[in-house]
Amino acid sequence: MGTLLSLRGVTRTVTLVDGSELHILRGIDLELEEGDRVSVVGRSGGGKSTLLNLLGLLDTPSSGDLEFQGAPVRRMSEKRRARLRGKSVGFVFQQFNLLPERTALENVMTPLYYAAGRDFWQRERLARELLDRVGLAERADILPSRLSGGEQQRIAIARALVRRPRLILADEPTGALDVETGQAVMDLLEEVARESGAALVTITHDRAVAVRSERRFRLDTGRLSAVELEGAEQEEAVSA
Amino acid sequence: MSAFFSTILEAWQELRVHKVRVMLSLIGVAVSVAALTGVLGLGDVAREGMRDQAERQGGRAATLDVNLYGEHGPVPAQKTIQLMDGLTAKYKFTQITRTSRTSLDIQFPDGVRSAQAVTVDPAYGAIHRVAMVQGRWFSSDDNQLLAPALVVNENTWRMLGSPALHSNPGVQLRKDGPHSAVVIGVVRNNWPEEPPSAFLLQGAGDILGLALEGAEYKIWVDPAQADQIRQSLEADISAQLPGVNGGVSRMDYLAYGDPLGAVQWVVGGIAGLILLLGALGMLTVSLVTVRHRVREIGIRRSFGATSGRIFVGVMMESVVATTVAGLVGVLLAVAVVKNPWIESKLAPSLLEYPPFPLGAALLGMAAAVLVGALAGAIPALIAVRVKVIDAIRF
Repeated sequence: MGTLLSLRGVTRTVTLVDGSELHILRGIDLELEEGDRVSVVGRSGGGKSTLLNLLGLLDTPSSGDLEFQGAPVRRMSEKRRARLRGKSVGFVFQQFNLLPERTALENVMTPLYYAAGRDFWQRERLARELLDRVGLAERADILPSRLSGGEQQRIAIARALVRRPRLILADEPTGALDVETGQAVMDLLEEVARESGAALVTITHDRAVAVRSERRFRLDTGRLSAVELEGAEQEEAVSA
Repeated sequence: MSAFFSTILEAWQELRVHKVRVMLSLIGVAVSVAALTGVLGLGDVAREGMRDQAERQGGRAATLDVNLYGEHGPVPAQKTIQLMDGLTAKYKFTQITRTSRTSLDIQFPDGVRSAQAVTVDPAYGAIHRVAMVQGRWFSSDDNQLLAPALVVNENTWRMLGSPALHSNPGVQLRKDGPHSAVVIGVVRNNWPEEPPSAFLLQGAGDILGLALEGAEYKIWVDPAQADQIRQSLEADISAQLPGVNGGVSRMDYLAYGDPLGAVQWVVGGIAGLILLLGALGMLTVSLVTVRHRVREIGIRRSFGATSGRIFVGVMMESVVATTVAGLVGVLLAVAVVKNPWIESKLAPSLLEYPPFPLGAALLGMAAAVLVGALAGAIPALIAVRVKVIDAIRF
């Protein structure tokens, strides 16, 4: 499998109002292969959102190298990053972030408005296929407010996958769900990621979600470090 | 190609989803555009009506009126005719008419009645934009007719029993003995109770031996050269008829500038202010809406929407909406301006009303699009500055 995303010595620093510098990320090294399953845990304020911004091509590093499919991100224009993001990255958010006034089908179709050619013109067919894939074909014309939390997250997964991304970034995907629904959503997310061969990066507070990944990292005060599983967690992960 | 369609489609869907908000904010724009377009349209009809009326009275722009008075009163007709024949040849005037007032006794079914009459040359019809209700105006060939041709007003025609003109209806004129004449055309009454009146050619006046009250000339010239021609004519007249000063003046409605122009500017300015208020209302609503849509914009950015696309999208929402509102406003204005009752009140003298001015409709549409672009640009600038992840977590 080829390298999808590569971070070497990546830092992210912001200048505060008083002129001082805040180092949010320090020397991040990370290699993501196609089909990878990676989780990142960490406390609030530890830099998870900033890392998510970088991985999702929403931001560029202050220093270090960030390459997406071998192309250096720092040299890309905002427009090129946006195009690459739309084509290659799918986001799943904690609060689902569905567009409330649009039906399930319209929500899944939304990313295809930023696609070109066949994907745009066949947006409804593609969206219906994805809704069918997540088991919500019958709920296509329903507004999100009339769907359960689990259903809404499945719609969000369908929306993230409709452009067949190479990287799926899941930001606390089970944070707003009960344990059982959260498990079902993770099962679905992992399954569709496996089918499409996309890499899945899950940012979570939930150790039960984190242990499902093949590789686990902790982000603490801006530094990323690998986490080894303990015995019970190893068993849990294998049985999951 | 697909990017263009998807931007339009996206903007349209935003409008569909937020239709109540959009409707409320656009009512002002539609009314403003209707006011702007309507004022221009009504002004156009009123101007046309006034122009028609004024041209019938004083001639088209620019009509020079030659009416000569000496120290002892009007210059004798024969002297004036001789002078003007020479000047017509010198200046090569083609649109010129001599007019003299007289009276005719016409035999109506219920008796003989006196009618006002004006002897003219065929050019009078073009100079005074004479509108025919029926039949035709004079041509130079009509001087060859054995029975003089008459163009009468509507009341005269009705009093004659409304004869069909294609049958060349004859009428008896009693002026120093009966003469036959043929009615070839009917012109509109200047006012509903206008007494019987008629036009006839100069040659017919000579045949009938009419006593002409002086000789007045009207010359239709290029407005740009009117003043120069007037001065030259006056100099020639003074040279040839010592003791006669001036006597050449402009009588058309544009002689002292466009009388409706200033009014139309003022009313157009008021309509423009209404449009500005509509735009400000729309801008306020758009600004509030964008603040409420921060999360949605962040989500769209995460899907790959570029800041340019977000900018165009937010602006297009505004432009698409105001374009639709503009169209409604223009249609409303057309419905009002082309209403037959309003037209008849605004320009009662017109036989045919002008079409709705295309310029006013285009100006209304352009104003609507411009308002949409301006009212959309500021929210769009705010929208592109949203930080994506912060917006999503907003």
